[in-house]
Amino acid sequence: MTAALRTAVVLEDCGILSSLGTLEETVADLFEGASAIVPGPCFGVPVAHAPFKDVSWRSLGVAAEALAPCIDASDLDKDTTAFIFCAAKGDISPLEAYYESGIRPEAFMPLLSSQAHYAKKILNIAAGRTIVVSDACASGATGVEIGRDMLVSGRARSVVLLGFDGISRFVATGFHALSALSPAGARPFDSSRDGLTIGDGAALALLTYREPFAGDVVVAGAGSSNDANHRTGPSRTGDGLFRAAKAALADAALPPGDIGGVKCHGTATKYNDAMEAKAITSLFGEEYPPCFSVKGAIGHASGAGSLLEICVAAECLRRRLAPPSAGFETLGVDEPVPISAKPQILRTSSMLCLSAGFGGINAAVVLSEVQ
Amino acid sequence: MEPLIDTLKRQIIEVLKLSDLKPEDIDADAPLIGAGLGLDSIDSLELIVLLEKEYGVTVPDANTGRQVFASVRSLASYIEENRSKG
Amino acid sequence: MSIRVESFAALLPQGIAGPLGLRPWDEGQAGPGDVRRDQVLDKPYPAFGKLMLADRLAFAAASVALAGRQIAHKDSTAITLGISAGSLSTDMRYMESVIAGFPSPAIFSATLPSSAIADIAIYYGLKGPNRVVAGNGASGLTALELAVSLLKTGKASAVLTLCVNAVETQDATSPLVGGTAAASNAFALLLSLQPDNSGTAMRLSASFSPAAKEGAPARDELYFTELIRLVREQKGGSIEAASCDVAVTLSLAKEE
Repeated sequence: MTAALRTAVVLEDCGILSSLGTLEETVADLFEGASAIVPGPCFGVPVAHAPFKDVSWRSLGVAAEALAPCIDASDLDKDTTAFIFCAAKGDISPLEAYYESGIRPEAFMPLLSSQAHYAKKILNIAAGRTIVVSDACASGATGVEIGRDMLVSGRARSVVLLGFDGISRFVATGFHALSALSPAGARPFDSSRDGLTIGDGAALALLTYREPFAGDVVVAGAGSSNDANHRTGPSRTGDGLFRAAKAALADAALPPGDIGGVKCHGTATKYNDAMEAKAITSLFGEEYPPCFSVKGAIGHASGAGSLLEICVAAECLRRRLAPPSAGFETLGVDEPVPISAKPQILRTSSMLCLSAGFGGINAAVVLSEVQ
Repeated sequence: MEPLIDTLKRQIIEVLKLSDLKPEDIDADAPLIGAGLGLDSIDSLELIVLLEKEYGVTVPDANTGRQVFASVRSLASYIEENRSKG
Repeated sequence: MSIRVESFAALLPQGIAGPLGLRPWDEGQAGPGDVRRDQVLDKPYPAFGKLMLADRLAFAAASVALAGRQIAHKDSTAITLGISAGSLSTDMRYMESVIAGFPSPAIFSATLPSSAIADIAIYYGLKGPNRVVAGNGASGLTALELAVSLLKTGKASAVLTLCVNAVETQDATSPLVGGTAAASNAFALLLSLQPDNSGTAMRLSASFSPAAKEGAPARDELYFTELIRLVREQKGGSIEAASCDVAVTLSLAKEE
């Protein structure tokens, strides 16, 4: 790409916490084909799940403390920095503790806004603005899009994004009540897939707006849409996700042929993966780039997961490789989407990251490594 | 069975908060899910909870669910059959 | 660039305000939380009764603002929602079902701040981008900021912006709510960059910056009430808003 001399939204630093560990550990294990999914029960529910490698991270404060060193926040200017907290439920433990044992919230309230301010204090981020984005399981990707729009329009010069969503009794029982969870573990795009696996996840990223150098990963574009179809289920046609992806490519001024790989939403529910295969096919026709899902390895960490997966995708982009999709063996969707069973070389230095959530929300982000 | 059908109609309206409907608007032999009442897959999951909670009756799988929720009448007979088993 | 206020709605303590005027609550109705389907939609809609408070308020405000309107480009009509308490009351109802031993799938499916846009998107076929912010006092103003941004970047041709404050009465004194509770209300603005010349309309300009003082306790429902009043009365005017961490200048001018 020729953006080397143009101002761009640069992903300066990022870090994650997942069931496989830190960003470095997670990416290394992903390329080994490892999975951190463990059998149930999970909060009394007989389903597989992917708990944090260090379960103490399930507390928002501990996670924020562990992530803080991943970005250099020392130079941030309060008046021009926005802090964007991205979560579906975040750390819902104050709500559970109150109902289970009558304990009143202390450090923070179950409200996402309260969680955001608590985490911001621990991260010690100088940010005049705090925005709490809760677009279901697309929260992180929407947060990146909002951050990009703020930077490009000059409403901010730096954007710090924090995503956090922990496994809880609340979330485990809820997805179980919706019959959405796989008993044995998520197998994205596989013919035997039978549901998603909930995972813990946290991610922290710093975006700035500047002239990028070779080797920088930039947020080249972002787009979003709504299916207007069903409260919780994905559309059957993939039209909504297709439109979000198309909008992200238009924002990045890249044709589909310039996309080197796709980080799929890939939840391993029957309908999500079928829908996503249709959306990817609508976008690329027969000229598919390598596609992968990490949810068979680290589970689905809701709103935080979409930010976490963007950080993982950036790391894969630097290696110019799509990782294997743990849990995937035999293609179980109608279209011949090349889901990676082992590492595959990306065909260009750009990656499309797809996310979708309850409420029919779709979000897509294009990452590019500057050459 | 008719008293159970009437009770079920009231419970369905209450549990699913179908405020625009009265019990007599529900045809005991019409399909529960889909076009008729405008119920969707989440409503059918909510009805499964109702069966467990109020009647101690479980719906083991989706296939059974489809038969059970074919109509209020089939729902009533499923409850009667499975209650007597227990 | 100025933005056209195509339509508006407000569910206020005194009644439902919309392009057709103000309709007071019926006797026995305590306020916005008691809104009925027939007050906002003329056709039966079975799902209305199922909506949890926050979702119902958002849907009702959207319906009043969109009543009788043909939306030209549904694929690029966005929804932005500022919802101060998020889905807190819905979360509490769900947790009660968990504690009772029968987790409710229907309530769980609504335990997200974004739940309040789902039915609006489906019912009105609005397929553009969505932005849901749950940042307590400044949520509505942030949703308005994101709406303006979506229009200015060309990512949306029209935006339905919603500001919803919803905590169920029974939760008002809960320690989980922590003093954030307020009377329920909801506001909707349909904004666009494409005038349809269907009559007089108001134009909105807005600028956003970090507030000088963080954590100011003002709630943005006050600003939305004032904004909607100016639109209803077709008056020009400007509003200086400082809510939590955002300072906003909103100016309204009557279209010539």
